[in-house]
Amino acid sequence: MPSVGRSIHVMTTALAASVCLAAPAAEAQFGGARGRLYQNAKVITPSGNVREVNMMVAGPSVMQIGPDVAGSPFGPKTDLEGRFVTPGLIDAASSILLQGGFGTSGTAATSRASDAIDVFDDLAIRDAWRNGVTSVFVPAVGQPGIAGKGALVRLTPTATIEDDEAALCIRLDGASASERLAVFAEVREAFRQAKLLRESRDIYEGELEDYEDELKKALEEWEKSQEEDPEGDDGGEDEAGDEDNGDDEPAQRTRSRRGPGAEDNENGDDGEGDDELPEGPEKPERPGPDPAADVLLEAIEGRLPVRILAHSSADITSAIELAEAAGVELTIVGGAESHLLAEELADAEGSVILTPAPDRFSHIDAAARISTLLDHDIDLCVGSGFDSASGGRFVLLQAQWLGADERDSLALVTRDAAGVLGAPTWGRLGQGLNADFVVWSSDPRLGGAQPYQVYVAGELVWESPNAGEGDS
Amino acid sequence: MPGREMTAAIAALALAGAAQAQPTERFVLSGSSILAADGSIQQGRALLIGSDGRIRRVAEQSELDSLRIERVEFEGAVITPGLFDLASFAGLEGDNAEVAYASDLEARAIDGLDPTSASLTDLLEGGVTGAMIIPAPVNPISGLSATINTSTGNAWVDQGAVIFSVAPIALDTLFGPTSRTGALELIRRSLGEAEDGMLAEVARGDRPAVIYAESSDGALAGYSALLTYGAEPVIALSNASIDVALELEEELDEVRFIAGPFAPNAAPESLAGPGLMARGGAEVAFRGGSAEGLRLSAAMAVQYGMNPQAARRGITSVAAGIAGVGDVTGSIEPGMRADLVVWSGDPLAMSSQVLAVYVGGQLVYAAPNSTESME
Repeated sequence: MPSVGRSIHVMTTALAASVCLAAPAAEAQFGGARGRLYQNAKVITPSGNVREVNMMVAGPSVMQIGPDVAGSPFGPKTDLEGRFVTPGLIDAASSILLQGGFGTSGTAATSRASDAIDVFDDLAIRDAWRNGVTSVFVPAVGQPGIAGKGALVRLTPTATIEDDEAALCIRLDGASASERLAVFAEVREAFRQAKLLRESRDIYEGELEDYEDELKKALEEWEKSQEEDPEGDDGGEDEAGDEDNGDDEPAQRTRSRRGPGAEDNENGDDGEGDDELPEGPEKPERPGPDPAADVLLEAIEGRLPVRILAHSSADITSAIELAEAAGVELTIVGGAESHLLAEELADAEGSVILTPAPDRFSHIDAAARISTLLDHDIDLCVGSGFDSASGGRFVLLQAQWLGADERDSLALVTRDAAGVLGAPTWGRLGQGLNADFVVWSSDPRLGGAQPYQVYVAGELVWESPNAGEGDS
Repeated sequence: MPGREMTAAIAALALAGAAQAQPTERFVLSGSSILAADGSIQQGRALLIGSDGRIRRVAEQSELDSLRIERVEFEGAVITPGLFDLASFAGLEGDNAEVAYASDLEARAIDGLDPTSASLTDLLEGGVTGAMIIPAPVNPISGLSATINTSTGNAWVDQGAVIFSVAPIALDTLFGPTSRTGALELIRRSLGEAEDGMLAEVARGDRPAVIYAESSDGALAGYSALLTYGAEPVIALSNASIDVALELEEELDEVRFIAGPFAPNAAPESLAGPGLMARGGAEVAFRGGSAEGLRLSAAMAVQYGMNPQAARRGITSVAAGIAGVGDVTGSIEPGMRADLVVWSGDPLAMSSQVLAVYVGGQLVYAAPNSTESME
């Protein structure tokens, strides 16, 4: 049981700590490694090889991993008895933990999936662990259109939202052809408007600089004229000061939003004396704030990945077109017919997160889909989809069901998923990476395997009801 | 009926035994492992197939190596019995949802069968050699199942189990009950009044019965109603089966259960039921709707705690037993029909592919480039 395991863990850690204090020589000999040593693990690497290793885990991270890693003889150890171990699986697109779903409609770039996530939904979290899943990407999935920002979530006992602005999510999968066309036009227009906003801001910045230069120049000329005519200077200054409600400091005028010179000019249009302020330039108007467009601009400027939900070839074509027009990096989520556009996706340097497809795509040969995408070197991974917040998350099974062979299937839900999602500490077991791993009853790539134990952040969080005591 | 004659003929052959017919040894079929009767995958075993289309011996490969007969070898492959899909609509191309009678014992699934249907071919090429087909469960008494061979479309059993239904659609009939209580009243009355015929056979426990439901409470209500009248119903339920498993905890060793089909978004309370039932001693088989759906349903149940061996039995021998042909096919044992599937791996792994299908010892399907895929 986890609680028993944890208390043993605590006791042995305490014991080991006290022994280590009394035996500094031994500690030095073994590199001073503090943490728990997991021995006799058959780690399946993403490339499909099986390595028999030991793994030292300290806190939430892997400290060392390799065949010769040895901890302190007095340190806590867990013998994994030659069981298969994989990194915690990644569900690359899931509606897990989303409470009440998304009610937004139309353009909602500023909404966030993280706002709807219940981090305390332990039933859903345990359900994910049961399937070996330790981390997920939760997209924003509202109405078709711009849906908002998705979140990267690590399934610690109380879920940890690691990034609540992981990607901008867009749905192009409208119910009818006319809706799809309308949604696509709306999304494209939103990006166009965002670009226009950026342009107008650029123009404003340029005009502001020109304005400041001109203002400075005008002031210099005025000051120069005052120096040439010092008599008029005093009177002029007083006069100007009176007319300008006491704002008589030239430096302040430069910073002033409105050009005081303009008023001066209006009031002294005869231009008779050099002692009056010159006519100032017109100040440019600053474009108004637009938070939704700012989100789109983040995407356009490459600071926010874009993930577009699209299944049909028509929608994927639209997604590619949109990505090109907007200049954003593209990831297709869904992708039932993505293999039909593998070449175009490869040209667009797009990646794909495959999820279960609606029934109307059931005729597609799933094996052909994955092999075609992999043949085109398209970055690929698998998600459990959005049908249910409480549904099972069979990502490994699903990767195979969607057509991956034994070798590819594990990579698709570990290393490759971390790559597509931009989560570098997920999906691999290595020095300094997350100590999120699954101990399996048998080789998980073959049939009939069940998670035996699941560790997240170095802690045993789930154990099969049939599992024996694993602690030494 | 042809199906009955065939069953009788098979039974006669079995009784006559090998001594009379003296079938000759035809070929040795080997891979790297076979699916044994207990559901485990055993390495290094091979099969000797006789000229009568039956399995003659199951032995270590080395033992069969000395035989000077044809040898068919699939390197690295797993050989299993042909899979069985239960409560299927495969091959029922016509409309099999009869709504004119609430008690429609004469609606036979076999009458709606198109033996040349592409859906049967899909099942066969997906490794499913047998199916128990049922009329659509749209009436409280929906009709009779049939058990068919997907390679020929012929029936092993043409008048099989009586299908009782408490699915919502069966509770809103045009000319019968409009509630679950009404439906169960009809079922009870029909069984209670039956003096002869098929319902009497059901009440005597001589004819199998299936209670089809879409909710755990419906399944339990229908199950207990049928039990009261002496029937021994098989429960067919895809949703929330964990409730049924918990409710029948004390008597699970007498329960027969058809689970699934499970969609990838199935809820945990549906998925955990089969494992719980099998652990309690119930016979658990699966309904897939397709070859892939059948394996996926079993694999998902494994993910939710079902013993893999029980899951493999659930798509082979246990399913064949519920379909009424467990003594003829569905397991790799001497005397059984050589209805066999050669896989690239464990059928519970969704990456495994069908390489070849044998029915009655005859090769009926070979996957394109199956040899290449094995090399």
